[in-house]
Amino acid sequence: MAKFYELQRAMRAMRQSALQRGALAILDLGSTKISCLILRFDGLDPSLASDQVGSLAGQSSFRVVGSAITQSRGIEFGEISSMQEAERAIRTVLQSAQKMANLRVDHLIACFSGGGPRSYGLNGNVKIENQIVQDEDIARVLSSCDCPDIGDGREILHAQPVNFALDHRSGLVDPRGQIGNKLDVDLHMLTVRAKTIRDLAHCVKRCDLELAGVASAAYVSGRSTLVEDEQELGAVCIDFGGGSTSYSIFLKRHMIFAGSIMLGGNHVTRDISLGLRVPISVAEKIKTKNGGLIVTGLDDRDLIEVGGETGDWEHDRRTVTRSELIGIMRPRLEEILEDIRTQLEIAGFYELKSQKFVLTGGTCQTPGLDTLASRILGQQVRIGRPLRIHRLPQAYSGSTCSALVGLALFAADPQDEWWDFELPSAGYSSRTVRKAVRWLRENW
Amino acid sequence: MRSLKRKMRTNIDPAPSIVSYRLMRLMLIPRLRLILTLGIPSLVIFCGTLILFLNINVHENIEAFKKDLKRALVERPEFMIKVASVDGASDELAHEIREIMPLNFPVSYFDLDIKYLHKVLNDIPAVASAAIKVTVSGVLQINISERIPAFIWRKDDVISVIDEKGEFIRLVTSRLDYPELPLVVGEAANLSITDISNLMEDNQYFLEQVRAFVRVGERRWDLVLDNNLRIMLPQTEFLAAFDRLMLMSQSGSLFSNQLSSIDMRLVERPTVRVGAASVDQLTYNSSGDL
Repeated sequence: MAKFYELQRAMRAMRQSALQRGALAILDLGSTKISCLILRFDGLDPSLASDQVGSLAGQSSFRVVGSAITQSRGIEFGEISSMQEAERAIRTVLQSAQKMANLRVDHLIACFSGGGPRSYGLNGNVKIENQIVQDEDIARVLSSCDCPDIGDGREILHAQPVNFALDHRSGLVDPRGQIGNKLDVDLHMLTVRAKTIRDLAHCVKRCDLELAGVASAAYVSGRSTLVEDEQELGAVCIDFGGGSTSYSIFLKRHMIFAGSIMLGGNHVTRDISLGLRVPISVAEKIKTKNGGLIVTGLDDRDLIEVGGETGDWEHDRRTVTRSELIGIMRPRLEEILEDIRTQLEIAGFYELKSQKFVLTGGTCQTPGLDTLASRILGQQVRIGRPLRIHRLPQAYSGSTCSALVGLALFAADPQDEWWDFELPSAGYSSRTVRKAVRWLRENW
Repeated sequence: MRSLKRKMRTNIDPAPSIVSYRLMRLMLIPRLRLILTLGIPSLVIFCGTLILFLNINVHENIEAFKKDLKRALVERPEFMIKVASVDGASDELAHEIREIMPLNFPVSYFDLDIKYLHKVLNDIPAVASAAIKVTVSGVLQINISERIPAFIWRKDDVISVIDEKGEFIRLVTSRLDYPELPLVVGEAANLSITDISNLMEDNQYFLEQVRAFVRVGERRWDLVLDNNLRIMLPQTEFLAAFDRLMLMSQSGSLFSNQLSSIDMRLVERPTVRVGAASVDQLTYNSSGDL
């Protein structure tokens, strides 16, 4: 586990150095769109600093200077499927965003929803030597967590201590300075396939940038859409993407569980395409213009021109009623919501006292999704939009960009300050000792 | 059948090429951008200018080129003057002007120094004033107003023609070149020739008898008549003296051959001198009125 501790420290150090440079690129790799923001970190905005608001968890320390968005290519289910195509798409957004910012950026933080995220709850405990909890005790207890077998070819994406307990006194946020004998920690760890991160790193490197951090899209959209009391009391953020739908459960301001299912808005489009026998692009247009989930009597009379360019007049002049369209869309979204409900049940979300559901992402703009979700998931459902950040363009303030905005917030305030504590050097490591013994044997 | 027309590329890749992407990132380095956009161009311009002006050959070439260009413009047929036309001058003067004019036709309008030409023409003694203009058809039109010969002036052995204001016109070899003009003799006679002009205004008929007007001592006039009678006029008020003479002459034949001179220098007391040939008659007719 000490190796994992070092890994998290290294990632944090790289992110810190990127922030010190003053400029950072934010990249959201979605299955539908790839979007990018250029953030400029130049200290506190004096107009904000003067009114005693404080640092707003780092939100006031940066502003958006460049932004770009493009249709994504080479990305399926939230992970890279074609390296060349994805690299070109990333290059497109990076170029236009840097041009707009008129700023050269060298570090990039990216988020994605694919890679098969798996959540683990970890537990570690350590005996405190001199009664009072100090920095190195925190470091020791974090490194003492017993790491489960995360599987071959997987890598840790996030690891956050969500709870500290000192002598059976649980629910501590910061146990430093308190007196006790035994310190326990609950750690939440999220792993993804290593290949996903490797592909992403390769694409970013081909664009001459350095990958300064990766984050799960589920986590960062939760950061941007959940308000503070939702994060504190417990809520789930469901990000309806194009290729995948990801969710993250927040409690006590920390993500305690995350996951994703491989179904999204693109599947709805494909269903419409199959059902109405139209091209994908036409199906997408019909979905966004006329889509819905709740049938009313009026919808039977609402005729939608399907259109087509085959030359067959009968085929090109077809119309469908809106209720037919809803009849295609609704089962698929019900399936997605039911899948999420199953997973949340497995995760034990329904054991929590506060059960709020915040829907975000592109597909959540479907009219009636909140009604449908309240029937399937639970009572308290709302559509979430990302937090406003300084100088964010209007086009990016919708629910489609909540992961992007959340990633900007994550970059400014990464919630991983625990990994800053220096691990005490507990004697020489066995490898160094073995080396020394071998050297002695060879020379004496 | 396959279309012969080239297929239009409808979906052009919006992604920048890797070269253009790297170039853009290079240009975003502030110092490099400053060097590339400001430093290098200004250095090139500075060096180029320096080389150009240090190299004398180039400088000369440029000068020659400029000159050629100017020539080509100046010598366009539209600007060329082919002939000169001299109006208002006698044949003799026109010939003289053509010889003296410092021009080789055809000449360009821009090469023409009108002021100098004007000065040259006005410096010709026979020319009172000259007007020069260039017509559209490329003719140099010179309008001359000539001085009109009024007197023959002989000083020592030099005979010249002068106008009524005493301005010198030209030398002549013989008095007979202008037999109709009255003769003026004496040092600096031309300077006060206006006296004679005034005199001649009223007494044209009488003065036809005058052979010569003689300036004496650069201060007064003598009139020598055909019969060698010399009328001496005073320095001042000679017009009054002349009038008086005319009055005197009405009473008799004053200007007959008998007198050799009439001295009017003292107007109150005219004096006559009798010619040698007439002395006998005088003695014979001693009581007669003069």
